[in-house]
Amino acid sequence: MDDKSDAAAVLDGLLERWARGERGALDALLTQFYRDVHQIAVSQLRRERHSTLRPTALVHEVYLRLTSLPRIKVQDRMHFLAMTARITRQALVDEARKRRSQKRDGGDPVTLTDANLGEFGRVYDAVDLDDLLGELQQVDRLAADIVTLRVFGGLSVDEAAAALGVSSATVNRHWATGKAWLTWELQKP
Amino acid sequence: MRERSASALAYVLFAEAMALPESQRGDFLDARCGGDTRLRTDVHELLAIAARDEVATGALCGPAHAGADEESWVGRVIGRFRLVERIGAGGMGVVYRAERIDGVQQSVAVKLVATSMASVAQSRFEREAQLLARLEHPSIARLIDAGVQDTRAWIAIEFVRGKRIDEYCRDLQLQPRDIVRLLIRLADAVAAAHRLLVVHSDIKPANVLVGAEGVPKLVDFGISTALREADGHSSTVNVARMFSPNYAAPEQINGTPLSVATDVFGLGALAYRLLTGVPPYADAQDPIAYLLAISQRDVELGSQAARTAGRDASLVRALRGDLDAILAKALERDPQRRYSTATEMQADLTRYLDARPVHARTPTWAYRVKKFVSRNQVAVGLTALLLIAITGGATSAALQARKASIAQAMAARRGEFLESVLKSADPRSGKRDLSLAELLDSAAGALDDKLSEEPLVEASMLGLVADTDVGLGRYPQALAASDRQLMLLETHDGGALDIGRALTSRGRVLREQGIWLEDEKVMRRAVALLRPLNAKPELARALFELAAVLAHTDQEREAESDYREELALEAAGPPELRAHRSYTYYALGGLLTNLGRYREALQYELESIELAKRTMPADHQDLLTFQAQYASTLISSNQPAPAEAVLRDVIEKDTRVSGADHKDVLLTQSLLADDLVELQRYDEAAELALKAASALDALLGGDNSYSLTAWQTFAIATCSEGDFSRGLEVAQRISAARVRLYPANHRFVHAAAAAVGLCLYRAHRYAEAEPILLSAAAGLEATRGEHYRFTQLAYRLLRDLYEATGRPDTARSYSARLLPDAAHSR
Repeated sequence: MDDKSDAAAVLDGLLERWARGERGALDALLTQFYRDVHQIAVSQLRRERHSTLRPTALVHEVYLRLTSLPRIKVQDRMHFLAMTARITRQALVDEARKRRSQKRDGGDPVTLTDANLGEFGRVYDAVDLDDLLGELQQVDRLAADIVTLRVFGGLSVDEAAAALGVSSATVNRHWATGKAWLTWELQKP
Repeated sequence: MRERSASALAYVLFAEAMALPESQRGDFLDARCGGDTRLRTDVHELLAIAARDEVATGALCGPAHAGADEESWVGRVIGRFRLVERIGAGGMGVVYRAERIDGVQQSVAVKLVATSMASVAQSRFEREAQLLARLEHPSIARLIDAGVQDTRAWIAIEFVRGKRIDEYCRDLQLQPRDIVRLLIRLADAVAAAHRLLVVHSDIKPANVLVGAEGVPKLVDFGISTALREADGHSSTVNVARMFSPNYAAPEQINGTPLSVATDVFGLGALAYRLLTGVPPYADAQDPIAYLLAISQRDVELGSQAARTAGRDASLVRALRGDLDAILAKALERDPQRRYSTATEMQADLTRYLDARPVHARTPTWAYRVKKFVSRNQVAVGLTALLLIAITGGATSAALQARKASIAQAMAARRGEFLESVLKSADPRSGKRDLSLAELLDSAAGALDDKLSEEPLVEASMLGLVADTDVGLGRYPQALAASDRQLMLLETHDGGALDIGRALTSRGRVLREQGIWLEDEKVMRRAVALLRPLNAKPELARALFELAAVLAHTDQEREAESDYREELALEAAGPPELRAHRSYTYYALGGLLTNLGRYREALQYELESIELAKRTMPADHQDLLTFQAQYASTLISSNQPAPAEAVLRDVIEKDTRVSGADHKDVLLTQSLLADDLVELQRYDEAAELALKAASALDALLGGDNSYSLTAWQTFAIATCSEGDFSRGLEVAQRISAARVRLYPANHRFVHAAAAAVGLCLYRAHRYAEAEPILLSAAAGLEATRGEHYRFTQLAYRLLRDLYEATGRPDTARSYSARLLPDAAHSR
């Protein structure tokens, strides 16, 4: 058995177990998945002239890939979206950091744009955003989580609420403060 | 660095200020910023940004429904369609029949919903629509186009000319087999949608039309979700959803995320309605009655419901057996117990048509179908709140005062209050959708306003809110509600029984969170309050909680006496209480095993199994758990041979019920591997342990106690078998993980060290093995005593090590500490 079909079999088994409701299989599943997401991110970056990504579009592509897998019986979209959002953030930022370190002058940064965050059409540096999210996490973990889900996963307020097991009112509150703070930080000269 | 912490401080003040009314923010900032003008400026900037966002969001979510219903759009052009006639209106918007404007003959149904979507929501809406457009199935009304135009989001769907499926079945007087054929097509459609990650979540007769050719079509697939996106507040769980009586699954009520299983329930409910002529829980016609029904009991057997409804005896006979079983399995209240996919349900329906054995009638199901034993793990959440409130389960404060009329009045007041809270959440009353969590928050807030004159009613409501929060895993909220409840009970002379109960509930929350110290205090008080009263069930429950804390905090002796007291109470109680003894015996058995009192432990564990066998089917999960623990105690007490038979039996039954890679099955396999090591069948042990460990890793992620134990068994078996290098490597990895994850003196740490010592000894690396084994032996002895299995293992290895290195005197001293049956095994 060659490596490829081996990996596919593992993925297949994990998907099946997850679909049967074994939540624990998800972590393993998403580890497998990380490479895939990363790959998609890299190829999109290569395609885009200005290295600017819309993370939600990325998630969408991941989504479609998953559904094309033969035995997918995904039970829990919300949970999947949430996990994908986290993975997307990780994959994008890993790639951005790699690029940064390869070029000492910091050229070719990976930038993001998302209508969920700040003004429409504005472009943010992925590494900056990730750093700020890390800081936000120190003061308001929930807010950082919510921003990740909304910006990197395109989740709505209610979806984020369901994914995090808190009320929509709570999500709204932390989203408002977290987003305002990020906007403020990103505006700083 | 200073810069960063200043920024964090600004965030904290900003978040606090946001929670205040605008008028108070100035004073708040004066007080908190003092003379730090820089900080104050920062917070002001943040508040300004947030205010700007608020305006934008307000526009996005603002009231858009107004006028949508009155205004007729007939004649207008939407996309490439002209609206021809209005054919319906629902909570989500208005539906028109429309024709193509480009001359192509095509009728569509266009659904319009008012929106003021910003580009964000719009792109999500379009993404949702794109996904739905890929949904092509002969039994799903196809989505043709979608878009946003003139403050309306619109969706064009294939126009289905047909009858509602329930009317169709009635008018044609379809027989069960014909109905099953329709259901098979629908299940196939639902399965197709699931493959695209679309869950319908609202399957009911009104959403299934049957066209002239007899093809059933599901309409509205995923469309309500898409439209809610358009509406600016998408939501999977909302109150409107909760109140779709007779077709909503329990998880739609409890607020847990919806899944494929939700549609299985919907298909089941639809099938039930079509086959029996009445919907599930037909007697529960209003939303609250439905919530109560579904939280209290399983659905009535289809054949019984048909008979009650006065259907023909021939129909009743046709339903009895396979169809009863299929309906019952699809309508299981616990999603995990339903058919796990629509495809599985479809397959069973097909088997029924082909007269092959249906899977719903495996032994596991037979007893459910026959008996419908109540299972208590399902009803949590709002259901508990409603259930207790309306049936008056918590009226003891008043009963204690021996005034039944007060009790009645209180129950009535609670009922009224709940209804008012639920009504206030009804979206049709103009408010936006609320999730269950929000509902609870608003309930907690409303309690104070509405019931401040009636503190005892408020207290009992708070108890319900707390229980519901526990059900939803909202522990901090549960503790807050329970705090206030206790305060009210105590300041208003709530009575010892109610205070005791409230404390017991609180103890459970604390235990779930592992807050042992406070838990112990709370439970001691509960027991002290309840003991003088003649309230056996309450005292028994409190003792169970107290004993659980004590067992967790190394106060096993006291825990033991509490369990014994509980047993005495239970033995003298009514049947339900007597039946609970099997759990108490089981808990007591586990406790005594930890104390090394194996003989007694085995006796109690056998007792728990015997009792359980009288009230549970042979493959009940709890009974299997009791048996697995019994086997584990057999292993601990050096009786590996009888343990093997028990374990193999448990694995066989459990695999049938739960599937081969269910956690419980894997854990029992890990235990069996352990047993095989004791039986010196190392090859088998290593193979089984490896399988269980890898599967547990994949299932639970690494570093969990279960897989570590399985890996440890693997290491021991491998080293004993002679593969030192591989075994040692694993043993060292496990030992390092145990050190990282557990307190320094935990028995797991010492046991893992003993495993490393074993591998080193087997590899003849005596000098390295000796100190590790000495320290492990001392640690195990101190934490678990001399008779503990791993203590004995360490002694045995030390004896062998000293014999091998020519120190017979020292060897003898360890030999003397070995139990008789352990001395010979190697």
